[in-house]
Amino acid sequence: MRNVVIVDGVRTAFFRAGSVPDLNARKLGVVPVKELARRYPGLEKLIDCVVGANIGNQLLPPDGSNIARLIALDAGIPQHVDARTININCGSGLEAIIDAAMRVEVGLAQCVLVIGVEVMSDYTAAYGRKQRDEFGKLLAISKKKSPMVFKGPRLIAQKAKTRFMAHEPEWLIKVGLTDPYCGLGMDKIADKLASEFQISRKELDLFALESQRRAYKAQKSGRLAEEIVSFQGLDQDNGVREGQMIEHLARLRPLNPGGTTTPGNSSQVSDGAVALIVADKEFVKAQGWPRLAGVSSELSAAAGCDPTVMGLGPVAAIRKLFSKMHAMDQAWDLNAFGVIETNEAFASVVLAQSRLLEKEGYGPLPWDRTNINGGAIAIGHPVGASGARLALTAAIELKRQKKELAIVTLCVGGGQGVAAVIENLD
Amino acid sequence: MQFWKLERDSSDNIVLSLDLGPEAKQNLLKARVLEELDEFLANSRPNSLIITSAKPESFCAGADIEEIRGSLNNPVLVKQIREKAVGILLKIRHAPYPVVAAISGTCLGGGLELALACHARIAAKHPRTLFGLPETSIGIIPGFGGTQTLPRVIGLTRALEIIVGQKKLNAETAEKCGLVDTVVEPDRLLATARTFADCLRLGLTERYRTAKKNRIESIPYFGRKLILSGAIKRVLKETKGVYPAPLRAIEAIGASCKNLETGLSVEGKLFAECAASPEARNLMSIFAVRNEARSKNWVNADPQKPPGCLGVVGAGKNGMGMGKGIAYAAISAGIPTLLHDISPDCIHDAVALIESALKAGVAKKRITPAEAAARRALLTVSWGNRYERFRTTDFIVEAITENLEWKRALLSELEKHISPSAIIATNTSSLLPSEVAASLQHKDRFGAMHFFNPAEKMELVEIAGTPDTHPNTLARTLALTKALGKTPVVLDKECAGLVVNRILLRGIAKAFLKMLTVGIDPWKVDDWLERYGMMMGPFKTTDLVGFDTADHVIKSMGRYYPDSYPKLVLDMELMQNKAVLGKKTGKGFYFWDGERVGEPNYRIFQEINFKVRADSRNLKTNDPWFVEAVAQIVLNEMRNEGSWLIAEGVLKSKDMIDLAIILGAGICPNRRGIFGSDFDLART
Repeated sequence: MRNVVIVDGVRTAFFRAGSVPDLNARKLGVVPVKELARRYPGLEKLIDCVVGANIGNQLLPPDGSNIARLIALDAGIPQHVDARTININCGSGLEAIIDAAMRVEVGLAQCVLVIGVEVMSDYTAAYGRKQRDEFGKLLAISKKKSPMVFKGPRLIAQKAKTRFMAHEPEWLIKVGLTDPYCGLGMDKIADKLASEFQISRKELDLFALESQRRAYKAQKSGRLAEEIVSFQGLDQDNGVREGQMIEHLARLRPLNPGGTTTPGNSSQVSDGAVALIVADKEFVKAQGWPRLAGVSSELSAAAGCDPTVMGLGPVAAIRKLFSKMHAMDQAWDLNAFGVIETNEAFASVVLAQSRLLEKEGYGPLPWDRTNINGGAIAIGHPVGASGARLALTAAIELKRQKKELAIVTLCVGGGQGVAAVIENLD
Repeated sequence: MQFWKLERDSSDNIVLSLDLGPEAKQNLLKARVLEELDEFLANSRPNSLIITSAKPESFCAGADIEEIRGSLNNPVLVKQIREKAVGILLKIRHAPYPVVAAISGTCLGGGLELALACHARIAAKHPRTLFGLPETSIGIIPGFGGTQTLPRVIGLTRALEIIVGQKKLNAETAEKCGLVDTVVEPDRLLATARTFADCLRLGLTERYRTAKKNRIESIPYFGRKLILSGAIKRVLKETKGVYPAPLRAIEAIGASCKNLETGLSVEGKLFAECAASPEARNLMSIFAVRNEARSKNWVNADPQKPPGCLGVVGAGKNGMGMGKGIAYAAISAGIPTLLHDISPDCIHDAVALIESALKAGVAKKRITPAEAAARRALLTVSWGNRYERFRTTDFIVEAITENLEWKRALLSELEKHISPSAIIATNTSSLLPSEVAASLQHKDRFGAMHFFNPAEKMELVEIAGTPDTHPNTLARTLALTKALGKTPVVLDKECAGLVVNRILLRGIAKAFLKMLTVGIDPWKVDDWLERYGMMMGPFKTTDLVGFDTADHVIKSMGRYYPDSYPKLVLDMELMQNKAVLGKKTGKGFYFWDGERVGEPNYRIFQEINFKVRADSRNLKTNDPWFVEAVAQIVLNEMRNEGSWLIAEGVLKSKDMIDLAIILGAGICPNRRGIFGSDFDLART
C-alpha cells in the first residue's frame, strides 16, 4: 500500500449566504483550483483523478449533476481525467479526502484533486407533484391546436385554478436541513441534544462567543489568511463578528419555541470552496513538492448512529476508529491529538459530543486544543466544503504548532459521523 | 529655576513647563514650586505666558499632602502658606499679559485652581486628562481660591458636584460645561494655546466669561439659596454630618456671589477651620498610612514581578461577585486572566457583567474602544470540572464558596495541573488558611489573599501566609496586589477571618447580642454609629452581605473563637424567612431598592422570630443614653478585638489595623479607625 500525503490546499473565504450576489458553485469552485495550479505549474497535466464534494448545487442546470467534472473542465484539467462528486451530507468534504487517499493507496491514481464546494445561497426551490400537475395541464391546454373559441373557456378555468392553488414551493435549503427519516429539523435535533445532556442556553452562548472570539483572533493575526485565496477581492470570512458580546447572543430568540438553539449558537449558512491535492508520497518527492500532512484511509472511520441525535455521529466514528486502533495494539485516546477539529454545526452538538466522549472514557474535548481558530459558528458551514476546510485547517495548525497528530470529525445529518486522523510528516 | 522649565521665543512669549523630575510620577505644587513661580512673576514681564507640564500624564495633581500635614498643627503657618499661594494666583489672574493653561493629564486640587487662575484653559484629548477638586476627601476644602473661581466659570450646580460630590471630569465633559475653552489633540496643544494667548492679547477673546446659569440658579437670590440648601440636605443625608469639610465647602461656594476679595477671605477662614479640625488631621494621617502601605515592601524577600497570567477559580453568583470582580480588576491592570467556574451559567453572567462594565467605560469615555477590546481579549473563560487549562497560569486565586471541604478538594485537584512554580492564593473570609492548605503537597506556594466585595472597587487586599508559606510566595502576592492597584495589608501571622472580618464580626455579634438580650432598637444603634463615623451600622452591614452569608460566616467564626461569640448569637436562626435575607431579597432590617437603602423595616421582628428575651421590653431601650451605651459597647468590642490582634501578633502595627478596617469596612475614617489618633494601647 502506498503512503499518501496532502501536498497543499487552499480555500476561498466563506461568505454568509446572500452576501455575495450572483454566486454559483461552478464559478466559486474553480477559484481555489486555479490558485493551486498557479502555485504548482503544470499541475493540470499531472492530475489523474478528481474527487469532488457537494450536496445541494447539483440538482439543476447550470451546475448540473457531478459538479466536480464541470469544475475540473473549467479549471483546464484534461478531458480524459475522470471526476466524481461525493455526497454523504455534511461529511462530504472529509469523505472526499478519504476517498482520494484510498484511490492513491490502492494505486488507482497518483495525484488526486479534491474539491469541496457549496453555494448555499444558490439553492433552488421545487414545486411539488400536485402543483406541477396543474402547471402541466395549463401548458397542455394552451398548446392544443384548436380555435380559441373552443379552448378559451377551459384555458380560463385552468388559469384560475393555478392562480388559486398554493404557490409555496419546497425550499431546498429547508428540505436539506431536515432529516426525512425521523422528520426532525437539524435545529430540533440540536435542541434535543441540549436538553438530553442538560446543556443550558447560557453554556451554548458562551461556546458560541468563544468560537467567535477565536475566529476573530485568528483572522486578526493572519492565521486564517494563510489558507484563503481572494475571490473578487474578498479574502476574509465575513461571518466572523468583531466585538461580539455575550449579551448580543443572549438577546436572540430561539429557533423553536422553548428551545435553546438560536441563530447565534448555530453554524451559519454560507458559500465557500476548498481544493486540496492528495498524492502519492514518492510521486510528490519526485516532483519536488512540499508536504503539508499525511493522511491514510486506514486511520479514518465513518459510522452511523441514531438519526434523531445525529450530532453524536462523531462519537460513533471516533469509537470505531479507536477500537480499530486497539485491534492494532495502539491504545489511543483524545490526549494523543495536538489538534482537534470538530464541526460546530450547533454549539449543543459539540458540547454533547464532549460529554458523551467523557462518559465513554475517551476524555472530554480539550478546549485549548479543539477548534483553536474558531469553528463553523463563526466562520460558516457551507455543508459540502466544511469537511475539507477542517482537514486543511488541522493540517496547517499541526505544522504551525509542531504537533504530531490531529483528528478531524464531523457530524452528518441522517445519523452518521466521519472522522479522520491527520499526521504531521516533519 | 529647578522645577519650572522656561522657553522664550523671539517676541518674548514664554512657555513655563512644570517638571518635578523623572522620579516623581506626578507633578505636585510643592512650596518650592510656588516660590519659583512667584519669583518668575515678580521679575519678568512677558508678552504672553503659557503654563503647562512636561509630563503628558500629569499637569499638576495638587498640593503635596505630606507638606500640608507637617504644618497643620500650626494655624499661623497654614494661614501664611495659603495667603502666599492665593497671592500668586491673584497675580496670574490680574496679570497685564494673557496667561493660558495648556493641560494634559491629571489636573486636580491645587493644579485645577492654578488653571482656573489663568485666563484661558486648553485641554489635550488624553485619556488621563481629569479635572477635579478632591480636597473634601481628606477633610479640607479647596484653599487656593477654587471655591470662588470654579462657580464663576461653570456655575453653582456643577461646582457643587465637583467640590462637594468629588466628581471628576474628563476633557470632553470639561469642555461641555465650560471648564476648559477647547479640547485638542495632544500634539496641537501648545500651538492652540499660543493662538489663544494671541487672541486674548489682541482682545479678540474676553478674559473672564461668566458661566451660563441654569434655570434655577438664574432666579435672583432665591435660586442660589435653593441650590445651596439642597446640597446641604444631600450631604447631611449621606454623611449624617460626620465630616465638616463638605458643609464648609458649600458655605464657601455660597460666598462666591460676593466680590472676589470677600469670597477669598471667607474661603480662607473656612479653610483654616477645616485644617484645624481633627477630621482633617485624621484623614490626612490615614492617607499617609495608605501611601506607606502601598509603597513599602512588607515581606522578607526581594520584590517580585507580577504574574504573567492570572487564574481565578469561582466566578461568584450574584451581582459583580468576587471572582468576576478580581478578573475585571486584573484585565483592567493588563494582566491576562483565566476565569473558571464549575457552572457555565455563572461564567455566562460573569462575562456579561465584565463586558457591560467595559462597554460602560467606553460610553463614559474612561477608556477608548480599542482599549476595551484589548482588555476583553485578555480574559479567557472556562467552565466544568477540568483544570488542565490552569497549567499556563502562574498565579491562581481561589474564590469559591466558603466551604472547607470544597476548597480542599479543589486545591488538591488544581495542584495536579498547575506548573511547579505557580502560586495558589485562597480568598477566604472566615476560614483558617492553613486548614484550607491541609490537602496541598506544596504548602510553601500557598497563601491567603482576601479581596473585598465588590472586588473591582474596594481597594483593600489582606495578605497572610501560613507557617509553611515561603517569603517569595508572599512577595509575589504583594506584587500582584500592587499591579492590581490595590492597597495591601500584610499580616504577620495567619488567623481565621483575617483582620477586617475578625474585628467587624465581633462588633456585629455584640450588636446582635444586645438586640437579643436587652432588646435595643437596631436602627437606633445603626444611626448612632453612623453619626459617629461608621459608613454603615452593624445591622445595615448584615443586610448588605445577606443573612445567609452572615449566618454562615458568624457560625464559622464561632467555631474558631468559641469564647468570643456568645451562644445566643450562634443559635440565632437568621435564615428562617426566605423572603427576608437582606439586600438580595430587597428586605432585611431595611428595605432595599437595588443598591440603595430605604426605610427601616420595622416588621422584621414579626417576620423573623429573634427570640428576644422577654423581660428586655421593660427596659427603657429607646432612651438616647441607652442607645449610646450600646453603641459604645459595640465599638469597645471591636477595639478589644483589635488589641487582641496586636497581642497575638497577627498584625503588630496599630496603623495597619486602622487602615484595614477603614478601607475594608468603612469604620470611622473621621476618627482614624477604631483606635483613633489619640488611642493609647497601654490603657486597655
